[in-house]
Amino acid sequence: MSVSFISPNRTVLMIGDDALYIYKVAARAVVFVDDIPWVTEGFEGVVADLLKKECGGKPVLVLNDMTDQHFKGGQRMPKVSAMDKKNVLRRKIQVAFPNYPIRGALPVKPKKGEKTGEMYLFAAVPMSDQIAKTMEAVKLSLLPIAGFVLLPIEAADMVAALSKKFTEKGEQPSKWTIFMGQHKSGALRQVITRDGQLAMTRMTPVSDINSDPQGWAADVVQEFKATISYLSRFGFSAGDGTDVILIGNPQLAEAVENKIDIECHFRALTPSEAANALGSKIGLQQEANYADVLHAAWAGRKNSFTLPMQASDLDKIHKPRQAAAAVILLLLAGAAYLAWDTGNKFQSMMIAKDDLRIQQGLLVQAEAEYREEVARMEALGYNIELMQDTIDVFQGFEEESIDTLSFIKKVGIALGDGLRLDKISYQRVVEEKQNDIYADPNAPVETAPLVMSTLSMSFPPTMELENGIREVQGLQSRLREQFPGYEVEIVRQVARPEYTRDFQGVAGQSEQELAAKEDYVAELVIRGRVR
Amino acid sequence: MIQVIGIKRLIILSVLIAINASLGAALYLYVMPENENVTRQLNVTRSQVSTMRNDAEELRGDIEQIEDKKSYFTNLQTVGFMSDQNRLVARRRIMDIQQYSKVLKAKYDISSAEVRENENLTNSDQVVLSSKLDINIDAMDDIDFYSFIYWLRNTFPGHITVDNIKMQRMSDVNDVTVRQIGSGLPMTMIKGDISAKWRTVVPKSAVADGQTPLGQGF
Repeated sequence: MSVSFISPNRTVLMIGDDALYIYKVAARAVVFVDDIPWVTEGFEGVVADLLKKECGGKPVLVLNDMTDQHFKGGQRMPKVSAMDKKNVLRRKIQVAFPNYPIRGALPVKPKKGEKTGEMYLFAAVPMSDQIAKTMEAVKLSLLPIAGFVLLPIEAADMVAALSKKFTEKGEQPSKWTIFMGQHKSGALRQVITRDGQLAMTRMTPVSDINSDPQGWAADVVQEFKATISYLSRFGFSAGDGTDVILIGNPQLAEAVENKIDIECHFRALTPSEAANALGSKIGLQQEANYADVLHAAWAGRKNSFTLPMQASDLDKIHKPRQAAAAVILLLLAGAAYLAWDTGNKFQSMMIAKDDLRIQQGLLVQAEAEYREEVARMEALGYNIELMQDTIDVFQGFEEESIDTLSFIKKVGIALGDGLRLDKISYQRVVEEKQNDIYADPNAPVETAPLVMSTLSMSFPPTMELENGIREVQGLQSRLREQFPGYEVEIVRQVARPEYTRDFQGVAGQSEQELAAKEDYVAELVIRGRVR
Repeated sequence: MIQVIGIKRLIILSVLIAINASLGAALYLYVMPENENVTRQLNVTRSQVSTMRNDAEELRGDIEQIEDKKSYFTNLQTVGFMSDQNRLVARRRIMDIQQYSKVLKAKYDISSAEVRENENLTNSDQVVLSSKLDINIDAMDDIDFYSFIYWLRNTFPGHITVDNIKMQRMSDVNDVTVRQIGSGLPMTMIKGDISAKWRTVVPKSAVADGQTPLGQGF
């Protein structure tokens, strides 16, 4: 069993030998609700009513303070795998306490220098009428069960904490601590720890502290001495250091202290003082001398118990309730998540709807704008695509056209006043596309039209041949000036003086005969791309 | 079991289950589908708004372009660039150019037009009509020949691309030719050939199966 996670506040049902003591444990106070004797008629119903009505339906912690508690210390665990450990431990407890249905095993710290493997303190409680009645009452109340624990075991760490609290700084902590306190039942509960761990517990009847203070003091001293006597069997030595903490009336404590004949650190505290020393509060108590309220406060506020006891009868009640609590928690978490997710998505949906409304408004506006523009376009009576395409095509044609007259005008300028042409031809050269597989595919493609013009001219026979040659060469030079970037070539020179040609003649002829046989025609070619 | 966990817990469990179921149903059966639906509608509407605005913007741009290009386009229409290359019109125009340029004679040969697709005209469903135009010219002066070319380029309906020109001086100016000219007889001093492409744009629907339109006047 584990600590209930529904609420940190609990109702503590302290099972005594004579009655059930009910405490309401809150963060700042512990309230004694009632004690219900076991012989009460309709005990279960009465307790269940009290738990539901007086205790506010808080989770219930059953704290067993009965005499009939059984412990077996020094139980050594054999070396087993971690997987088997739990089963082996359960079997060992079962063997140790075969007839007790409520059992538990508390790991014990080994003594210093002791290498004995894992040691356990086994605890068990027989199923008694008191426990059965308590369980039935809890079952009837339908309240969650925080756990079933044994008071001496749960009080051991409280005793150790008190002992530590009263140890002076720099002082060696005492090995033994004897905690004594009378409960409402009248019994004196002694919890003895050795090195902070439960060593022994005793529950003995003593005189009532309120009605017979002197008798109480004498009884306490007597029981203390009996305890020391028992402890000597456990290796007790006063030289190891002993703290004695007595819960009760401090005025009576002096009488007790005077009669203690062993060397020890004696402390007498009221329950409130002890609680304050432990850093908690129990509030104002009507009967300030009883220690059970301190135990209820300590165990009731624990986050995890030292030894939660295992019992099938308890599990039958506890586990379904725990499962139900877990399911409730899961459902709460699920509902919270779904609510959060639904809220988020709903919010985003609402935002989207708002946006949609805005966009729909914008669409209406955009459609109106579009219709306006269409109307304007229709009013113009033009097809923009037709218009643009036609213009593009016309401009494309213009780009591939050559301004022939401008070309001829430049030729005219180069000719000047003294020369004239017999023939002129001008033609666009149709270029064949070359499928050169070795050509650079990234090379720029020349798109400008290639033109070739042939100029043909003749000179009068009366002219000196050398002058004619000079005129043609001069024309070539001027054409080059007019057509930068073009090739201007003389393909036929006057009198054809080129060394590549065959050349015949007759020396001794008259000038007229000679002139008649000369060639006075020249031809030039202009070739290039129109820029 | 009810005795163990109690009616109150059962009620709480039932209520929580009901709340979870309600919330789950609301979330998965209404909110999420509706959210998706609204988001989808929103995206579609945004896209429509954007498209509509772009279309309107394009139209606005087109209208501005129309304003800018209207006169250019009108000029193209006026100069017959969008004509079906009516041969009678061409004949009349060449005669006009011959008279205006003062060439003595212009013998022309216009081939039948070819229908050519042009990638620039795909959107507007137009095609190009292209005819080869060859003209042999007799003239007294080379200036007249050049003048003929000028007027051909600038007044012929559609677009003229001159590909080849040949011009040859037939006679020199001498006493005989001067006397002949002086007597009023036309004297061919210059002979020239012009080879050109004549291109216009017509609607695709106006040409049947890639054939030249028949009998359509300009």
